[in-house]
Amino acid sequence: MSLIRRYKPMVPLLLVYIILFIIGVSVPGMWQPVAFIMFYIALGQAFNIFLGLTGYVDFGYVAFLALGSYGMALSLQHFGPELGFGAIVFGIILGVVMSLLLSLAVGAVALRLRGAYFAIATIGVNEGFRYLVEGLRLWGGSEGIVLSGKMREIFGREMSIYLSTFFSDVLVFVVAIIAGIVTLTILNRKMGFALMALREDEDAAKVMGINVTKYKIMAFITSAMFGGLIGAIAWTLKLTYVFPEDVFNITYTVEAIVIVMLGGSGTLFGPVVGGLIYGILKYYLNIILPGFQLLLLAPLLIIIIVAFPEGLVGSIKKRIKETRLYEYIK
Amino acid sequence: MSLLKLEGVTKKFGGLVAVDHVDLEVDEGEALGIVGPNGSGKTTLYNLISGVYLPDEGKIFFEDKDITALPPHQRTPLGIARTFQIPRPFGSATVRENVAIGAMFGRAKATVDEALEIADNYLKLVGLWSERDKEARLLTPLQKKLMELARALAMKPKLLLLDEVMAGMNPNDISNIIDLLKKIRVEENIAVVSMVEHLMHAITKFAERVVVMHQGKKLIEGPTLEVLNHPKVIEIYLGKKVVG
Repeated sequence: MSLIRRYKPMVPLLLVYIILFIIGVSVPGMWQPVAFIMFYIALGQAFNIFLGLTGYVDFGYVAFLALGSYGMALSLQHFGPELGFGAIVFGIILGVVMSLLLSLAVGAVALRLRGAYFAIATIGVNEGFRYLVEGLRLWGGSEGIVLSGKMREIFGREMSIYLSTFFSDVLVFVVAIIAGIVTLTILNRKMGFALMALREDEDAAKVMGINVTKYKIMAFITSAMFGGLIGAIAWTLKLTYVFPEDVFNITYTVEAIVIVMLGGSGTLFGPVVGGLIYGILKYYLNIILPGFQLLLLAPLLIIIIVAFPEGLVGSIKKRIKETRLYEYIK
Repeated sequence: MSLLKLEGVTKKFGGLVAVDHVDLEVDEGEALGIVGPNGSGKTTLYNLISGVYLPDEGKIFFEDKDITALPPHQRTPLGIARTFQIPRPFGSATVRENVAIGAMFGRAKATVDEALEIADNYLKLVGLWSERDKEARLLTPLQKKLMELARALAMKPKLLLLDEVMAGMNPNDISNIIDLLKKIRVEENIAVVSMVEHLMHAITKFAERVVVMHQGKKLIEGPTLEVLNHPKVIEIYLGKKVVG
């Protein structure tokens, strides 16, 4: 198979991103909703690398986003004055490294557990970390880190507004593209087959010669690093503050689960479709029926599980099996 | 040199001794049958050889290498492949992908593209070529067994452990499978161990040597017809003379 043919499934992803980007920059007032939707698409992409590809549910996933956001905040706070824009780059790296370290620690212990036991163990990670930060008064404790003043000092007023209202959102687009490429690369390689096998039958996969622990940890770490990236960019850089009760909020994990399931767990295009639908619903429900948007989660999840157990993309993929479109959907 | 060697291997589940001090040797390219009634420890023996269980006592050698403590995923690349009594396909993957997974992670260690090609060859061989793009869970039970056989063969094993692969097949299918196994065994020099509960007829056609298991112990072993007609075997296991 040629390289071009292998990466054909990137086409629909990029089309969605391009259309969203064009709508965002050309229609007045649409940039914020587009950025809101892109956050959910990127979140879905990142979470899918673990949940979708391994079938393991990590309820503590938001902790990786949280650490990413702290990484960026700490970098801006401590190195901003000297490094300037370099502090943003360093913040991204720090955020990713912090998420990576946590994922190694959690993965080494929790990934020995299976199914529901893994899910339960991971809830503790998120809550535990939040109380650690608050209790130890680590990184500003429960007051968090507020960066708006600092950012004005470092970058100037105009630049800070540009960074938080446009540049950070553009970076989310970039993350979503990279996450797509990484997912597709995994799916195309032996790792994708190994993960699919372990998702279906872990014991049989072992006997087939697959080092299931290795592949689970690889997927877990990759997914966690993208989580850190999103936390650093879409939270700290965009919102210019970090509060523990916001960044360790388990709601984001549940939202990520809904997005992945809605679109199609383990597919490349699924999280994009899931994030798009969920983001649009949540944004406009928030305007029409403020405060009710969280009620969306449970019924949506039930409808998905009953009507499309394989997600929208999973179902579509089956329908188009005999057509030429099939090459483009993965 | 024996390919596989078990020395005093024992596995207990609580008070039950499922496999009791079993010694076993399998030679390169040999066709061995393991027979024994339900609960005689056959499947546990397979699980010990493939690494699903670790023995409580005893040692297991593969090509003179001590593999007693190796996890399953490190045994497979050495050349050990098996099928399951109840087939365990990777259900949502296609038949072709299932077989390709065997080629990728078994002794063949093929790349994705090579593996898909190997898969095609073995699917043709077992007669599942026309079903290759189907989801594996949609296959009939018989087709699932054939797919598992193809998947195990795609691993390019030196030792192939078949767990009741012929159970539930009609006589015609059985004779086809036996012809296929004989052919592959010679062509690729694979030692094939076939385990059956009561398909004595099939085992006489296939195996050169038979081991009879009873209550976790090796009861008797030797040339197929001799063993199966042994009064002890007939008495405790078969109950009446089957092979005439």
